[in-house]
Amino acid sequence: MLFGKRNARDRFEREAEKVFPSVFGTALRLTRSREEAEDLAQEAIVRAYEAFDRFDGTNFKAWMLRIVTNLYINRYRQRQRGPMLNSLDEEGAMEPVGNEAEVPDRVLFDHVLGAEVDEALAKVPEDFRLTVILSDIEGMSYQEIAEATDVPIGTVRSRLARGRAILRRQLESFAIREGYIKQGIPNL
Amino acid sequence: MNWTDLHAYVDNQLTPEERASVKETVASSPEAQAEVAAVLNLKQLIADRAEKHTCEVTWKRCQSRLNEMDKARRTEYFVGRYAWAICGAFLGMILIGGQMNRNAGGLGTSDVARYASLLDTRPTNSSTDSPALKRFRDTVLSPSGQGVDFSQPQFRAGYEFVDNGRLVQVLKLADANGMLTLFRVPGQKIGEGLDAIPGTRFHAGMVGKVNCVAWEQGGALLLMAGPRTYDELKAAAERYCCEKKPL
Repeated sequence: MLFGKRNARDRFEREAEKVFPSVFGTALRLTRSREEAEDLAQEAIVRAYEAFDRFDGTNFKAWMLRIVTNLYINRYRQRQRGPMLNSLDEEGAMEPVGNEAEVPDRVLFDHVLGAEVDEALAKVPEDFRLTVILSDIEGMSYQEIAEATDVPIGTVRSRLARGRAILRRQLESFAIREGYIKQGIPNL
Repeated sequence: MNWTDLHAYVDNQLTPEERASVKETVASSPEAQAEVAAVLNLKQLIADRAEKHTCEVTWKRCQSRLNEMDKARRTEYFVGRYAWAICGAFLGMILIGGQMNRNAGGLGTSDVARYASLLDTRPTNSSTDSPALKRFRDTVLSPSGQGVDFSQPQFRAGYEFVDNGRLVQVLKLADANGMLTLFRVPGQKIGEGLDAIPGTRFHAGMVGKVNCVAWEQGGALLLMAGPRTYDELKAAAERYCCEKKPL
């Protein structure tokens, strides 16, 4: 039995090490605090290890991110600062931010540093940010995001569209402020 | 046009039928095309430029916590599997320790109290003619033998018996001050219930209602009891026993 545990530990560690950058990155983007992110990531690893015998073996990364997300929602959200979801109309109508007359300039985006992207993400309300992170950074499907965040797929879709719209505005402001684009000419 | 459908289209999260429908809409709408392009570029930007965070140290800490969990699990497993054996071992140790303490430990107050009954009576299982008892009696009574030298005690009775696995030898003596009972228990040490007399090898206590002094000599416990003071008992013990090395 002890040998079986040893094998399980080895298997878990191999899988966990591969996805840990995603686990930690998600924790960091959610908490916006390195110290809290370390706690959250460690707690997620411990929880996952405890529950590893119940892992269905299909998508370890999605399973881990689901644990991180649930832990964050249950434990860290109360302490979280910043705008909350209910400050915005989640199901409100979507409007395009881009302009059909303008062609997005990829070259400009290449100059935007990662820190600015993370800063812009940090300004997106929490539930939208979580959905954007899981979709656009971690590559999870809508179904996986719905399971991880315990909301219907329709809510995932609307949160994602809304979150991206806010993020686009944030990055647009940055680009204008830094002189990459001219005022009133959105590139995102 | 539902803009969430456009995002799902870009994310390839639509059914084939939905996808075909949205594709048709996009093809006919420059506004939708611009939105699709913007979403694609945003996704690409995030994927390319989202900050890469170092986490090696945190991962090492996670591994340490996993190691601690494994240790705890191994301990739990061992204790859980061998709980009865561990309890049995502890019980055995307690029993063996108790037995050893009983056999090899000191003679306590309970033993002394039991011996009080022997001051006036004699156990039914006792014997009077063993070589060991004879040697003990002869040593105490030497060098001049009974009845001649009044500085020596006179022999009144002697017997030995086994009490709780211990050999107990008893001599009843008489000297100028009255009766004395001398117990000898080989292999025993002085235990609880007897108080040390400071500056001497003797301990003092009570046997029944009479005083006694106890001491260790020649690998045995000796206990002298009689109706006299501790000083008198101590003096008698020194004169009759302690000066005789082979005792």
